[in-house]
Amino acid sequence: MNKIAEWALAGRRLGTFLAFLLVGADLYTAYTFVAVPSGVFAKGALYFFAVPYVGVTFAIALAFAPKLWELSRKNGYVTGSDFIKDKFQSKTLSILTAITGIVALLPYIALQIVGMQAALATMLYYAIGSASHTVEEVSLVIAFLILAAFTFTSGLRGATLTAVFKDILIWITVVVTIVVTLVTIGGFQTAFSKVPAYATLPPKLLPGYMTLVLGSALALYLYPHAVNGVLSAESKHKLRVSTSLLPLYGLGLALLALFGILVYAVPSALSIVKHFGSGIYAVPALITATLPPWLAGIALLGIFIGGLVPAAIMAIAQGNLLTRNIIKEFKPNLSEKAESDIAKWASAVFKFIALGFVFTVSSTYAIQLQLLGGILILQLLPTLFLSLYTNYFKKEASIVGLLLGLFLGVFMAFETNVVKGHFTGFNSSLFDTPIGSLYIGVIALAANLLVSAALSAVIPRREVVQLPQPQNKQSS
Amino acid sequence: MKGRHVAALILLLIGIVANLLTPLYNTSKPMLGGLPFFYWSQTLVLFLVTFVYLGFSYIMREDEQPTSTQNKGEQK
Repeated sequence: MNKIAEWALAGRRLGTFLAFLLVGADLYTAYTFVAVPSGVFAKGALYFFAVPYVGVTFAIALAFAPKLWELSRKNGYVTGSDFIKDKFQSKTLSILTAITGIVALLPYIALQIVGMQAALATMLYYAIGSASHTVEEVSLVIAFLILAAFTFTSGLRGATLTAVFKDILIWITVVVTIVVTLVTIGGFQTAFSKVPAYATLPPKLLPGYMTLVLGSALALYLYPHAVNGVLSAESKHKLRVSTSLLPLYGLGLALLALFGILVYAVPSALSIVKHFGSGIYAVPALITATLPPWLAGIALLGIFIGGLVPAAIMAIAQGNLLTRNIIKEFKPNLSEKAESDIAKWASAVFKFIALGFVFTVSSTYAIQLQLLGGILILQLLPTLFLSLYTNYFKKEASIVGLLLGLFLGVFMAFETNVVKGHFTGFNSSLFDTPIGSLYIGVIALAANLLVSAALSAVIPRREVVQLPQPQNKQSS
Repeated sequence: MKGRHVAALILLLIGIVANLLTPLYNTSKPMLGGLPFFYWSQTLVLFLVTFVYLGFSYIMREDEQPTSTQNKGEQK
């Protein structure tokens, strides 16, 4: 079997339970373990959007993933770009899709690195007793090196085994921590009494909350690593069942989000967070303050791996996309060995670029990195999802719509974060509109859909006609 | 669309809509263990949609494994 597909999809032979765990590990990442809790810690109810987001995203997955799986099995697709190239008969569109996938994953990987850094820095703080800048910087370097080494050597199968370990670890940690904390402080009242504004969502944030839910839910399965997870299922039914069960994992996310509030009632944990000056330490701090040292250490290791595995999986997906859907378009006769070598090295480079994104957001709002990626990947909705069921969208219209959505999304992401002429980092993903502050991803997608649909209506359908003489070559 | 598919689609829509009724969930009372309604209601909804989606999966299973003999001709 083609080496690159082998490496990237673990030979497509993952059993249901392993596939379930791998997709779980894909999807429940540093976002769940540290980023959402950090947001809740800093801003309260707004960042709880992650819980209904999880509830919606698997419905979206159930609507589209089985169809994608079926077509991929039938036609040998390994990536979303493969499907798009075939469906639209367009190299341009498939290359643009691959580029979008690669770029959208960069901030998402950065988020994982932030989570790994936080876990490591907390361990070091515990060992050394210092929460200085150096501790954080050293943690970042070590985390990055481990990530680079890990992906390079193990590929997808190695990631799976580690994912199993990580999942069990995290669940135990979450349950034990929350039970111990609640028993110690006697229920959630104490915590909420410290931050009464967090009890509900300020009504003016409702449009933002709901568009964050909708946008994030539509985006998740458009990501290349999620597509990989889908394609590695053994059967349509097994895929559906394992997807249906994934909201249960989301209950862990709900509990972890609440850690962001519980911290306020545990002075020793709150002081660690204050020492580091970032909400990203809410979960590691609560764990350290509540659990015996040996268990806390293991739990922090779980969080570390909880960032490591998804980051590795995402980087593998990027390397795969670059080699198969971009480089191979220009050099179709690449040897198998060259393919998998390039993919591996590309992964390493992409991780380095992802590292750059770490510095574009304050770690308290690291969740914004995922929302940034979401703005980009959402633009694949018409071509990767909707076109599974319809031939309505034409190639040229889709290219224009995609480019428009990407441009608009990036523009708004910068614009909303410019204060007095100064770019302040990607700390917000909401853009003010007459109907409220809305998630930029949804606004850009709406524009994309409108334009793609309108242009598709006016572009005549190309009939594929069999003629005795060769026709003029269709341009892509 | 087959009746079965319509039912399946409705299940998905129920799951989606239930998670988007945020204005309805946006109060603090009644509380559960000191947790405001906003938080525990959405967590409960998340738990419940699992079963809605499982229902979807088992309805759709008929597409791959028809249980009645007259469907055999439709198998892919």
